[in-house]
Amino acid sequence: MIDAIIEMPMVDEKCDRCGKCVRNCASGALFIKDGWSIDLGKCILCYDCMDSCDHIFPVPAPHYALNRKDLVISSSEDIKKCETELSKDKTKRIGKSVFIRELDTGSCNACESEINCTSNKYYDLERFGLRIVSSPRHADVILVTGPMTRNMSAAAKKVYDAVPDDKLVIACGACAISGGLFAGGDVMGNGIEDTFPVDIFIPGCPPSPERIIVSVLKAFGFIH
Amino acid sequence: MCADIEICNLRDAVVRYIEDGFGVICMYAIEPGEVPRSLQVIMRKGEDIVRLSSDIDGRSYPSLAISIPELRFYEREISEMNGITSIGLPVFGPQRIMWRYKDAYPLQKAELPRDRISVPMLGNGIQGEGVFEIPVGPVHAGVIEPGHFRFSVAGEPMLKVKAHLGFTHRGIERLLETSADKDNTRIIERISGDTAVANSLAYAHAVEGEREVPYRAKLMRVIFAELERVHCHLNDISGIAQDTAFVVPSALGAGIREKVLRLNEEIGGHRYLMGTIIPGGVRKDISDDDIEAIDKRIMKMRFDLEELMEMMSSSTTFTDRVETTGILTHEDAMAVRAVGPVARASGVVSDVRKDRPYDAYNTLGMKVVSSDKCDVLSRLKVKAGEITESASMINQCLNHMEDGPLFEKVSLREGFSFGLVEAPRGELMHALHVVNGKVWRHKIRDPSFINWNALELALPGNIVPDFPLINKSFNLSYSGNDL
Repeated sequence: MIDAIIEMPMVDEKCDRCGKCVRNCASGALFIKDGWSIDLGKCILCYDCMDSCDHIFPVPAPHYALNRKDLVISSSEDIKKCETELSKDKTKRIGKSVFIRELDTGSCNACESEINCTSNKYYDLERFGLRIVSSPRHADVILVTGPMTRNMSAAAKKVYDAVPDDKLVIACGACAISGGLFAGGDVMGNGIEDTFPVDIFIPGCPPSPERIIVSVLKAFGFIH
Repeated sequence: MCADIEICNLRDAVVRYIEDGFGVICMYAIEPGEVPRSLQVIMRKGEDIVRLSSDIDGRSYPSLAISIPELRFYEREISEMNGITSIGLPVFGPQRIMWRYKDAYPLQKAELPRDRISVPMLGNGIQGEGVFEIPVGPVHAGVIEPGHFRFSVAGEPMLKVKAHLGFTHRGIERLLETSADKDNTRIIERISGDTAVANSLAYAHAVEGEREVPYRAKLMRVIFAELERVHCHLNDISGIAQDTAFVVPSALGAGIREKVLRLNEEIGGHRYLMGTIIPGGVRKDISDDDIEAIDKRIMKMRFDLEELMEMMSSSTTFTDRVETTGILTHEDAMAVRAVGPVARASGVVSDVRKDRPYDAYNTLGMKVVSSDKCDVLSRLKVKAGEITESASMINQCLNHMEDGPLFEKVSLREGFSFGLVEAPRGELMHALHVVNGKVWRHKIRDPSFINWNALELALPGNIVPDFPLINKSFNLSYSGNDL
């Protein structure tokens, strides 16, 4: 259907754990602890590490993960574990049409722009049964962007409470997953997970429209 | 040019410069420590930049806004971020943050305490028979950023609108106070996602100072900056059509924009061109095939846009909605010193690319598109005209393209550095003060910081349903304003 492959950095076996890439990483996504690892929830996919080292090469990245710790990837084997389906109890009430409410908790507006793009004629998410709605009260799913700023946290909690129960939360982009580059700023903890529970994590900065759509479809089991 | 002035004479000095034809770009304060606490005023007239610096004793200074009203927003910002109050200025509600610290303030050099006191949000203060106040936000019906608005209405027309922003305040200015040899481009690109190139370009200019970048890099920077302007303005055109429920042009506009974003991804590796510009040059090269692709697709984009504008202007229901709506008079635009396409649509002919050319702009032919109709339609036409100008500039760059290096290594120097570019939304400034190898203050003045005030002046008299339309025609960034 849609060709939505993005690439993430990965080391080959010649990596000598010198730590140069870790020092160059702007988002602090790379770390060396019993081997080289990348936290895709923090990675902004700037590929600065690839410029600094010959042993880092691009591999296809997972579109989404259901657990935060699945996004910490040490080898190509870990990538395969990411894209699993949501359990049936979570998706039972929602059925085959997913109504999505977008919630900005302080993003830079690139994620909003990409979510707006999902409605344009190239992607047209409504043909898949997904729809972006105007009110939290109409929604099944909250699509959260941004690092949860302190100023927005009270309003974000109200939105969460206004969505009918059996709701799901999607963290869209590096900021929402881990705080991204703003983790040390005027924000609540690391990512939105400190404020309310998250069901689907879509890494990227920003995730492209096709990846947002594919992630939702795959997580709900509409495509395999 | 820099001048040190006694704080008691600062107001008169600024007034004198303004009478001379200068306009204030930004006013901000510097924290004490290795340098004394001081107030900085940066002004521009054409190509000339003047920086006035005054040391402050204690926590207050005589207000400048009493004589120069457009400075009141900066004084509010300074009192909130630096804890320095101006004497004589009435205190308004919060500019950005909705809480304050006890005996501390966000930009202080010492560690911040944990306890905070919330600041109540003020109403508009308009009362009378049949006058209502409608609170809207911060979560809106569309997929946009958060902001709270209060409309005072009597019947349908709005009497006064106040925008309460700050929901996306992430504390960026504090995060940027790092060691001077650290490259902060990655975080600066994410100040406002759709102005990634303009922000990183202003930062790059500040780091480079007077040093020249290679010619190929200069041309590529113009191409990237203009591509960004094109997709940003196309978003507005599509959005204005959307807000008048004119869905066919809206869908077509979004389609044209998507094509530009895909072109961005092909040539720059990122749909919003993040990671293309670094201090000293550019990071991505373009091949001859890319040059051909850009040329062909930009040409196609121009034809598509012409068709779209023809469709919009030939519909009387559409023009009826946008003509004489949201008038920002020339006087109001001058009074708040509005910038960018908003000001140019109100007859203020000012463009940094023309007045103070940077990179390759001085070698390119460009026309500053302006209009004196002051309404939504004229802003729409100015933006469409700017896209055409951008397309022509991209073509000129492609024709001038020659082989050469892409960047030269530069590092930030001690003292004051300054970068000023024309972002899609208008004049964007980055000012850095480096003290002993550390960024002591990194001030960012986003064009939206000014134009939000212009929006509040354009709204009264219009009906509430026209608010989204007028707001879209201004296209203001919440995240750029809130930092």
